[in-house]
Parts: sequence; structure tokens; C-alpha cells
Amino acid sequence: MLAIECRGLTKRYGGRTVVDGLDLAVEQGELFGFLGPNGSGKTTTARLLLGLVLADAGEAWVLGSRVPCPSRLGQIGAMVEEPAFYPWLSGRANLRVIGDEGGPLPAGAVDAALEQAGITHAAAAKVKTYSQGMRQRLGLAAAVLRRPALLVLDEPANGLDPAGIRELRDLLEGLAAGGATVFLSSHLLGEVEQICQRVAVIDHGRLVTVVAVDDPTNAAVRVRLTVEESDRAAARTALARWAVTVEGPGELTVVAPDGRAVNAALAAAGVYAAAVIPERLTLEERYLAATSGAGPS
Amino acid sequence: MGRLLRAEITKLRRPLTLWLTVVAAVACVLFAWQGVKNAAAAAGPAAPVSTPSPSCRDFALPPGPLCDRAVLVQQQIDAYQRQRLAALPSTRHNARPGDASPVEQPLGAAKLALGFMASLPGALVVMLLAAGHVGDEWTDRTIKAVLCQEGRRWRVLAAKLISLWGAALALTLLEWSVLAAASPALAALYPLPGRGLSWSAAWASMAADAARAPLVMALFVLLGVTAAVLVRNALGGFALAAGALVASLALAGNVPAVAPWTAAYWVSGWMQFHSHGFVIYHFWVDGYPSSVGRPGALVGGAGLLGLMVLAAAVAVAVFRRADVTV
Repeated sequence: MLAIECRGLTKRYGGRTVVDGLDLAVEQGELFGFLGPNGSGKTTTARLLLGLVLADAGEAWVLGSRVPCPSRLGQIGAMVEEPAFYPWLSGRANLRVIGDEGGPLPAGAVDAALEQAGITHAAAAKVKTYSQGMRQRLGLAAAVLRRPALLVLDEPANGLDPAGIRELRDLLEGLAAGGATVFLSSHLLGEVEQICQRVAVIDHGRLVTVVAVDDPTNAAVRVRLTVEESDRAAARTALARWAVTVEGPGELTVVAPDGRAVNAALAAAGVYAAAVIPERLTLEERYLAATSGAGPS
Repeated sequence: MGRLLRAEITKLRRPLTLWLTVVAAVACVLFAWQGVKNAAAAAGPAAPVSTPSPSCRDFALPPGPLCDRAVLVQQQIDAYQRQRLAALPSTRHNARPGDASPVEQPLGAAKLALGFMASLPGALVVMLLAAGHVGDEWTDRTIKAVLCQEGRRWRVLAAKLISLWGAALALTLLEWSVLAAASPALAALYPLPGRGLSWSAAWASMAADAARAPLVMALFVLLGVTAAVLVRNALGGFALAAGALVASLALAGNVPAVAPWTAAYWVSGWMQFHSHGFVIYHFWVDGYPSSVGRPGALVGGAGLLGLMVLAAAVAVAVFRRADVTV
């Protein structure tokens, strides 16, 4: 059973399609990253998975149940954008309210969640006195309150200091080691690269690519080519299916699945390169290539 | 549902509730105090005890048999008028000190608290609470946290309605308690003629209101919650609910053609609001043109129930399909 599955998931606001036929599959126990530029549909996808907004077309399943699935919410921890709390209540009272709103909590869950998120020292203070980082920690505490099987986190590192980001990483890795699935939407590419096993890139509501962070066979590469200047036009035509950049006379750069495919395409067109040098792309380069150079959100 | 209700009650323990409670209690005491003060003044020795006798000058007649006859007839008319007015209910045009006596009795004081909460001040208090309790979930963006825990939205709405209704009833009890505590002091400061209200008479004066007011408060809660769900904003929710209610009062009082189809008309029928004397027991339209007629309790109750069902249906339908994008 997949932790998350989307088939043709679509959401429109007015005439604007925010999520456009999204297909996605996240395995159980996976640390899954979700990247995309501003307005690419990341947060709306998280809201769709949680039943906060209703899909216009397509279907989604979380933990095997079709969304919206109120009965599964007790197994899902979530933090969508900046966490919000009742400012006149203390951090601990807010967690108790959240606990009462859902199903019964495991014994000692509130204290354990406060401890896990590193906010125990401020648990008795009213939330209106919290800094952004403290609210973020309390949001994480709320997300892990029920020891969930699935965590849907949207920009969880916002407002956290470097130590907090490190703790977040440790917390998520610990949860994943315990069997939980983490669906992490973040604008911090480095963070996603360090934490996640696979990353999906979404742009204009569409899934652009899904890459395994540590799998070199699944990674796109940048291939530096040197061809005769007279062959440049033919080479560009032969490589038209990929992103090709002219670096100088006879110097081309291609972003492709691997160097072998580039070489084969050139040979098929009767172009023989003087040099074919594949270089592995960083996640950021792959992200930028996938989103047509748009900056990360 | 019990846990959800507990969460909603915890959320209601907020500064807004505290301040509304204080303001409502102080307002009740001030109205009670002003009412008994006026009633005592009207009953006191300084008050005119009789209408001055007419004179021949009043009739522009010379003294003589004709004037004597005119004066006699006028005195008979005055006596008849006094007798007739004494038999009519106490109204703002015919206020009698006795109508303030419930306020000087701890049990009877509930009549003022109930009338207050079942009329415009109560409506505004309840709608402000509803705007804060429901609309602020959007304004403060906490609604997403709520719905990430409980996805059955009708349950969230039901818990909010029940907790708000409970808060309105608790507020009424608190106002009554404050008035009951103040009643001996008011009786001592502003004694009214007679022996004061017995416990049975005090019960009779407030029992009907106690039975009817909770339904009106439930209507106010439903209107406030529905407006907040429609507007998804605390201030806008309050403005919509209060605006609709004030418009209903204005229509009921000024447009006879539509008056029988207004919430104001149904509330006034269900509560059997009548014109008040020295103590203002309610703030609501209570006079209708003869072409409209005074609403009966049955018509009022049916109208209230119909409106409540409609408001609940709209709130549930909108809330169940609402996209939470905050």
C-alpha cells in the first residue's frame, strides 16, 4: 500500500488551474520531498491530501483511503504553511485543544510532542508571546502529537534557526526510521537534498519530474560536447528533445538522462563529437532545469 | 462529540468572552437601576397624585350653570380615563411603578436578564461571540488545524453551535445572578409601594420568558454562525448577522407588508414582547399596525424554527464544501 497516491489530481480556483492532472506515488516509510517555484501548486496539493480543499478532478489516496478521508486524519500529522494557534491559550493548552479535536491521544502525548519539538520550556506561556521560530516548533509538536504514520509538512523549516533546522532534520529522520512517511514541501533545496530520498518537482501545477536524490542511474546529467562548428546546427537538431545551450564555437551543453543517449542521438544524425563529458547535476541544477530556470520558492 | 465540545469550550475562554460578559452584566444592572429609580420617583410623594380640576377659564366660559356642567363632565371623563388606564398593561405611555417590582426580587430579576438576552443586546452579544468563535478561525487561520484533526465538518459546526448556545445560556445565568445579588440593594434604595413581589408571583413573572428565551438565543447563535461561515471573517460575519437583524427590526417596525415575514416579528411573537413601562425588559419591536396585528406565540415559534432550519442548512452546506485556503 502506498502512503500517498494521486491520479490526475486537479484543482482550479476560478478559471486558474493550480494543480493540473498531478500523478504521484509515495511509498510508506519514505522521506519524500516536494519542490516547486512560488505558485506551482505545492501547498494546494498538501491541502488536497488533507481534505482542506476539494479536488475538481482526479483522485487521491492517503494510507490507502480515498481523500477526503476523515477517518484517516488521526494517523496523519500536518503543518500547512505557517502554523496557527489560539493566541490567548498557552502552547500546552493549544496542543490539548488539538488533541480534543481529533481522536483520543496516547498517554503523555502532549508532553512527548513538546519534548520532541524542543518547546517544553515555553509550554506554559501564551502563544501570543511566542516568536516565529517557537510557533514553528509548536506546529511541529502538533504535527507529531499523534505519532502519525504520515507527516505532511509544508515549509516546516520557515523561521527556524540553524540549530532548529538541524533538530528538524533529526526529528524527521527519526520518525522515518520508526516507519513514518514524511511528505516534505520545502523551498530549501539543500534541506530537501539532505533529508529526502526522492524528490518530486512540480511547476504550474504539473509534475515535472521525480528524482531519487542518491541514485546516480536515475539522475539527469549535464553533458558537455565539443563538435565541429560546421556540425553545430545538425547537433542541435539531433538533440532537440533535450535542453541545449551553446557555450561557444563548437561547445554545447545538454541536460539529458545520460551521456550515452546524447552520443547515440548525435551518431544517428551523422555527427561525431570530439568530446562527450557527462557531469552529474546537483539537485538544484536539476530543479532549475526542470522548472525552466525559475527560482525555487 | 464530548471531546470536540470540550475543545470548543476551552477556546471560548478568551478575552472577548470575558469583556462581553462584563459589559452585558453592567448594562443589565444599569437598566435595572434606572428602571426602579424612575418607578420609585413616579410612586413617591413628589409625584402628581391627581389631575388638576378644570376651571371655567379652560372652557372659555363665564362662571355659571353651564360652566359647572362642563367642569363636572370633564371630571367624570378624567375619572373614567384613570380607571381605564389602571386596568391596561403597563406601557411606556402608561407606566406603573409596580412593573419594576420583579427587578427588586431575586427570582423576578431573571425577567430582565432573559428579556435582555432574547432581544437586541443579547443578539449583539451572541453574534459577537459567534463571529469571534467561528469567524476568527479563518481570520487567525486556525481552521486548517481544526479540520486536519476532525474532517467531519458537520461535527465541527455542531460543536461550535452547541458551545455558543451554552455560552449564551451561561451568560444569561450570570446576568441573572448579578441582578439577583443587586435586587435587595435596589429594593432598599428605591422602595416601591406595596409589599413587594412574592416568590410565586416572581416565578410567574419570569417562567414564560425562561421557557422561551433559550430558543431565541439558539436562533441568534445560528444566525451568527451562518454569517461567519458565509463571510469567513470575524468582523464581516458580525456585520452581516447584526446588519440582517437590524434590517429585520426596521422592516418589522416600518413596513407592514413584510413585517409578518421577518425574524423580528417572530421573536416578538414567540417571546410575547409587550411595551414596557419603567423597566426596559427588552429591546425589540413590540408595536405593530392594526393591519399586521400582534403576532401570536405559535406563529412566532413556527417562524423561528423555520428560520433556524434554513440557517442550519445553509451553514452546513456551505461549510462542508468550503475550500480552506487560509
